[in-house]
Amino acid sequence: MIKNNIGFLLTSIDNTEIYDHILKQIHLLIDNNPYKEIVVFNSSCDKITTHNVPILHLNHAKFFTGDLWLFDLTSVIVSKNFPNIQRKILYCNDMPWIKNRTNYYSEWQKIYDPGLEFVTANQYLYDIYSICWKNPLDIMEQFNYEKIQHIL
Amino acid sequence: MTKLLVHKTNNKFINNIDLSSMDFCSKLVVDTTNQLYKIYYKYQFSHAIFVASLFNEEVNQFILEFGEIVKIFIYNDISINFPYKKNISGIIQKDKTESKNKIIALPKLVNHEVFSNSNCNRINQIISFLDDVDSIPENLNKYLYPLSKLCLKLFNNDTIIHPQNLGLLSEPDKASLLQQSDFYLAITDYYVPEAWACGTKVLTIEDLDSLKPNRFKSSKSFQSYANFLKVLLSDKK
Repeated sequence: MIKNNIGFLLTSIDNTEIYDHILKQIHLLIDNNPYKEIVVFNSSCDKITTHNVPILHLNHAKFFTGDLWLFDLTSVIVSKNFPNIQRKILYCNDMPWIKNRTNYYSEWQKIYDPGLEFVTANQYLYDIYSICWKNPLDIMEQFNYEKIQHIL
Repeated sequence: MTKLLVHKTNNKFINNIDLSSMDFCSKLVVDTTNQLYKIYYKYQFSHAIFVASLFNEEVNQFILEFGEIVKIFIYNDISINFPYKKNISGIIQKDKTESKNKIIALPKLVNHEVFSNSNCNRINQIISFLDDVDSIPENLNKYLYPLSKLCLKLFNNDTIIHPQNLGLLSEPDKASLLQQSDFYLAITDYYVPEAWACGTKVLTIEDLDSLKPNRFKSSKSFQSYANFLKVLLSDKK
């Protein structure tokens, strides 16, 4: 069982298997935690079948109270000033500073502020995030509702 | 009062001139492309520092026309030979140990206004600035991931691709990182004076096993950028 309400900030949901898997897992998480508010925030959705997961527009995320899962830099930046978030967890499956090497470190520092928690997709990323930023909470190779319950 | 024009570019020497306060001259650090003459007629500077890597026809023409009136110094960041030296008061370059005819060896300088020991809490991490290197030295690889999990962060070289290379830094960012870190790794001695000024222990690659400084044990004090410029600008032609 999880302690807080959970929001998943998926800025765009493409019609791919990756998003299908994520939505399925969120559906299972909802089934296992019927008394918690679990919701996806989104601004563009290409999927028709969304496994009955409640999806709200990104606008509503601002005043959401609970833990917020983030999946990319856009969602980290968008959620910077959300006032009621208890914990922000970024699911890391890449190292954006390698692709954007002309960015200033101070910008990365603002993005990866000490309040942001990490969960990485593999051991390699776990080690790199530990060296460069802070120790991630855990490794989650595939997005999995049981692991989310365990982490939270 | 002396009026100084400085070519704006992102390198240590120019950045620190820009950040130094100078009561003996009024300085203008600016990109002069396509407006050098306009700036001259508006600002009437008496001294100028041009950067060799930013040379273009406009600068060449200006030196030929105004070299007699304006005291012109060249910061030779790309080590080129200048065909005409008559109109140039001095060529500042860092790779000469002794000053020769018109060549001014750039001593090790520190901007104490930016780099100082703030006595704030330090993190047990090693930082290194890659400004002066083209690639990661081979003997450093064994201290980097995946061969090591040492908390070593690299900065300020966008040509080097490594997950521990974390982006670019301004001079105040460098100072702030030096003030917050226990160790500075000196791949070259380019930022050793600044690390000393911030009270950071300076390691070489060979010191990374013991984390005890050997080569850069005792710190020295260095001249400031403002002092260097004061002497440079007051020299008679």
